[in-house]
Amino acid sequence: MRTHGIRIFAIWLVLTIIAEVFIGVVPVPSPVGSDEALGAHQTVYMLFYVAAPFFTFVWAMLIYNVVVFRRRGGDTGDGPPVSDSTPALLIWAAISFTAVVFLAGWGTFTLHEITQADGPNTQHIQVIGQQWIWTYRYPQFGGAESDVLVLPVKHSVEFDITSLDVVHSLWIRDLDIKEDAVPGVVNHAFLFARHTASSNQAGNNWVVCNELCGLYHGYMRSRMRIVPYAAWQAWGKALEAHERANGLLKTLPKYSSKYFPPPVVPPAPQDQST
Amino acid sequence: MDRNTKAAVLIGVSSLAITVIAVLWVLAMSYNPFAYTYKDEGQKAVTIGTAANGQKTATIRLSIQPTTNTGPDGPWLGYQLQDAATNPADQRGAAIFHVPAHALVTVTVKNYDSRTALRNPYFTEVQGTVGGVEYVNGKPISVMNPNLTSHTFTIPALGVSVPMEGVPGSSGFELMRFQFRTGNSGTVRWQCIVPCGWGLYGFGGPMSQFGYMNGLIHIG
Repeated sequence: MRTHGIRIFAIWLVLTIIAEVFIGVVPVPSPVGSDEALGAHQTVYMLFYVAAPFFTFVWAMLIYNVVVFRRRGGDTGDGPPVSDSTPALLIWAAISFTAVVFLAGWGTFTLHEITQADGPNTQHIQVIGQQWIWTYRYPQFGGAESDVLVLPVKHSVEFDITSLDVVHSLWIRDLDIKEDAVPGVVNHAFLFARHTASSNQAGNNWVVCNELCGLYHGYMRSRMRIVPYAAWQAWGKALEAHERANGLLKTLPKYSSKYFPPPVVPPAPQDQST
Repeated sequence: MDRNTKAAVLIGVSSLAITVIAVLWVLAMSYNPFAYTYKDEGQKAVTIGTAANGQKTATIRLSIQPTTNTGPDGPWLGYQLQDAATNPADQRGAAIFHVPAHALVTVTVKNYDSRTALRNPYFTEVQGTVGGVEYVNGKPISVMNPNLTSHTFTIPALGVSVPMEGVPGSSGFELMRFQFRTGNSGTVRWQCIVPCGWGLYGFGGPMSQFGYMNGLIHIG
């Protein structure tokens, strides 16, 4: 039995080293454009690193037993009786428990870190979804509104996300931001962009809707730019000046973190006849 | 024919029969004799030309009338050909337009519909047009009074959004004209942003069915 144990251990060790190196070498296709994305990225890697030894152990046991203890030709007898091993069960349970608790702790801490504002100088941006377009309001620029999302790099941003009609979902895949936009409800998402970026024809850095929301759901996407803070300030002030000059700012409702103007809905034709 | 040959023939014939049945089944499932054949008249609204300076041009002449667009689901509100008010044959969905790439497109819209409040007044701003303006009954504006709006003609991919003024009563029309430039070849969608349908938040009916308050523009 000791010989079998040593062999299984050796096979497991080799498989584990291969698996851990493989995980380290092969890139997991997850984004790292923001601190929040980096946190999720690291959590994914940690999950793989911790799970790999368990995965290889199960396979090492399975393959070894299938090969070594298989029934050979002409053998019709029972195998040797198998008895429980309390120490082995305890060791297996203890190691599994430790791994699960460690991963739960890691994930909880990461979730806490990526779902809160990073510092007092957080910039709020209101995200408004409606069929089938995104718009963004900037309270720091007089409540000016745009259909382009412009963000400052290396600054904390809090999105206040809502919808005017059905449920949408704000998704910026390259920044790993995804949060539902629900009518009459303000949801929050946080972001600390790590580098400048902009939407491109290859499909990177677009704001899209990730909740099936009707006829043109697939077309519901908008451009995004991440720029240096000074450029962001200049862009915002120019937007505010433009919308103040043409009178748009006067027509927009006073900025509020909750945005849900009452709907005015015409009756359906069948209602008109009754 | 020996036994093995018979078996091979049987398997081959069976496979062929199963394949034929599967193909026929798929074709039968795909064919729906009751499906409505949607005939879009949008291209009748388009006139393509070339300016004296060689610039490709296109003109799109449309109208909006309440409950006369005989699109896929019957007479609802929708964009139609511009003479729909006087010619019932033009009361069809005008939703699909073909215009040249890198062209100057002029759009005129006769709006016979009344005023409807915008949920988001951001779309009272004229965006993406030549000069940043539209002409309402010949008068240029860059932002429309939100109390006057009725619909919009919005092409998000081109950054174009133009509010349509509604008529104050139930007769006559308001005439809107604006120009925008197309880019590279491709297909973009247009839609009305005003929730002018019915159902949940005004996005039912003509807002959610192709061929009424939305459609496609093929560029190139």
